[in-house]
Amino acid sequence: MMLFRSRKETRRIQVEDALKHIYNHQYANECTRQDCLAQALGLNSREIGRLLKELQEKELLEIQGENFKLTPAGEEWALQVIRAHRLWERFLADETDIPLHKVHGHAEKREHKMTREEVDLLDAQLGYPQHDPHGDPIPSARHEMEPPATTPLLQWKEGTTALISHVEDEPAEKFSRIIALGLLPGTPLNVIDSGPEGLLIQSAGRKFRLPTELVGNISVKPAPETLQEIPAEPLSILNTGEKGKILYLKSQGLTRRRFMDLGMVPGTLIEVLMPSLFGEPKAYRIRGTTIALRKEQANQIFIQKIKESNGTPK
Amino acid sequence: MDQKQPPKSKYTPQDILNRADALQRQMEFSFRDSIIQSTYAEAEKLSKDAVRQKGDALQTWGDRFDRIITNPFTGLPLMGLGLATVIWITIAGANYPSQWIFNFLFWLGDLAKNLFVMMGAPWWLTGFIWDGVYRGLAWVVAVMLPPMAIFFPMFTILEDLGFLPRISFNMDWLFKIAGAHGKQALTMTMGFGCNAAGVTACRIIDSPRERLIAILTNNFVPCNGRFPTLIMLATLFVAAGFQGLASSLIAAGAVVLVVMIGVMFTLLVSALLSRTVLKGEPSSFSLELPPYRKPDIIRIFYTSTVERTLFVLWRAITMAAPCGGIIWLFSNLHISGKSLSLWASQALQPLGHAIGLDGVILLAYIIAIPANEIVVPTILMVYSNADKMVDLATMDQLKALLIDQQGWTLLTAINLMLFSLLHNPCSTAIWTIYSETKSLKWTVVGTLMPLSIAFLVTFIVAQSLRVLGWF
Repeated sequence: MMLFRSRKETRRIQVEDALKHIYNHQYANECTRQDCLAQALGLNSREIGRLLKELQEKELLEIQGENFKLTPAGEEWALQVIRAHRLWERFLADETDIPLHKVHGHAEKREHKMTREEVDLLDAQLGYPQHDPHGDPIPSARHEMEPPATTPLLQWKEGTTALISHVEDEPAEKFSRIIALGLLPGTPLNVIDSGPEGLLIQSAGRKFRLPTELVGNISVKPAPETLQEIPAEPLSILNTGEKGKILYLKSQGLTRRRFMDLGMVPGTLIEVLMPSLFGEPKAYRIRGTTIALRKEQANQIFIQKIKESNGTPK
Repeated sequence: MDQKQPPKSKYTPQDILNRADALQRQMEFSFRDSIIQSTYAEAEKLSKDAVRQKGDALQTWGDRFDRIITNPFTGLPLMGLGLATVIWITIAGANYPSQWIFNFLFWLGDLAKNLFVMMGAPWWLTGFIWDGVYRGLAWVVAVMLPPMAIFFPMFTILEDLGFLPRISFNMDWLFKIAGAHGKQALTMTMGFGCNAAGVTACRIIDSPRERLIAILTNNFVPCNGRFPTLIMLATLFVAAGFQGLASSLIAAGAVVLVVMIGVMFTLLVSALLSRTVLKGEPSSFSLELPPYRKPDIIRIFYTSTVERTLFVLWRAITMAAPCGGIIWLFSNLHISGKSLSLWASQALQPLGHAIGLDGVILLAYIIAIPANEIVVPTILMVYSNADKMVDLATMDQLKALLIDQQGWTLLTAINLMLFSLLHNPCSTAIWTIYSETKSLKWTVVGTLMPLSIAFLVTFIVAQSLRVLGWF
């Protein structure tokens, strides 16, 4: 009995994964031939043949020339799986401290286990988010989604500030390298120069080279006015007594929530009050309260330094 | 949509939902941030209109004090002095009240015992109830209640003043290296009062990993119940040969050294735990430093007496009562002419000797697990072959029994201090670890890990000093 059920379960997971992949390929106008799908799903030609046949029998899939296309029923199912996946990612990124490069793996398992009601409940609890943490749109309960207006980073003009709108989450190795550079969705950046080894990027007060193999995984959009041309620096560069204005937070999950709860929203003034006995952590004055932060946390808050002249801050 | 607006009734609920859905999908990437931002902007506007701020004298003094306490040259001595003062007031202040409660409860016990004898109750019943259960209970109450009744209000006052969060702030750097949270400095300070209360206090650490580290290592801070033992040993052995003020200063220095070793072990074990079994990302750290405030006396009285003192005392009493009975049985049950305690301590002798102690001391640590306060009385009971827990009035009597009769050396004293500092938590603290973690696994770790460390450290000290030929 157990064996039978678990085999049925495995079968369903395989079907759902196939539907999801075919949908994504179709969506991105990529190849949907049998050999391409087999490669994407990691199946051999015999296995993929059997799987596609099963999908056809269930009227989830139809053949158009060389390519496969989802039927409305197939598309419906695929979107439900994608919806569960992206909502779960959003939940993990916002409500837990699981590192961003690990949420995709968790969601890959969880997406097959959630009922439609559970997904809708999660959607409501999270406040109907529109994007997953990588910047992909989340299908609504009626399976509509807005394709994001984004530009590949490679095509971005030098000189204007861009806001990262999407970071491809697969392969996980590349994704975690991008995250390690601090390039999360929502982070502003400027392209300074391009060369054969990649792009020279300025972001969050640092200049660094983004290797060519990572550039293709990032999409951007124009940054809002407030972020244009302002050199942002991490809070940790301020000395005792110096003040800054918060521009944005480069953190996610519970940490971000905690910062927001403390009133660290863009535009808030923050002053370094004093270092502790060992110089670390430091106490900051924010909205009349005193909050101590370690250097790691202060590095996630980006500010514009305020120069004092004649005692009045500009 | 049509230019000629249809009357309102022509919108079906479905139309409205569709429209909402479409609008929602046009929303900005960071719309939730925008909501929070506008909430704060509105709140700021309201408070600016309604609240006028005046200079606050307490705040000015607070800022000055903050400068002093975070200064490396003044901060460390000030914090050390503060801690020493609190501990000294607790120990010195508890001395007489303890004596009074002691005398009163034992007078009451003797009265009841005589009543039992008069009514012709069998000796074992009288002994078990009044020399065993009651005596254990009375002893724990007498030695535990006064220090807690003094320490907890002082702790709560310092907490309320806003002094304790500054200590967390100052010490966080050390705890960060150990992979722990700065608030652990607070739970450790609480541990000086009582480890069970210290473990409960770990609730203030909101990240589970750092909280568990604080719970598992709280025991390395000696509690009120262990201080008298440490002081007795320091006075009798380390400060022996000195007179008057010099003697008490040297004894105090030795106790401070033991406390320092405890703090060192806390940091060391925290670092070890956070790099092995409790490996993980350090969670984000933010600590509010509240403004200095006038403490609320009624609230302090309530939290320190009802929530802390009585709570801990009740737990200790429920543990001490059966233990008193067991201690009495150990010294009054005879097999082949030898008391059970003698049998047991002889069996434990080889192990005790290997770690620089003896069988009697180990036996006392086993049967007096409910409270560290009754370890020494149990040792004295077995040594003097008494039928109940005893105390000796003067240092000279103690010296005669321990050094002259039982052959305690400086090694015994050093290792007993180390064992007292590092060994497993008392049963009240163990129970508290369980009720705080709700995990049998972590309760076992929290019990056996310190015990293994205690055995290991005392073993190494004893063996190496013996190899060197000093003892």
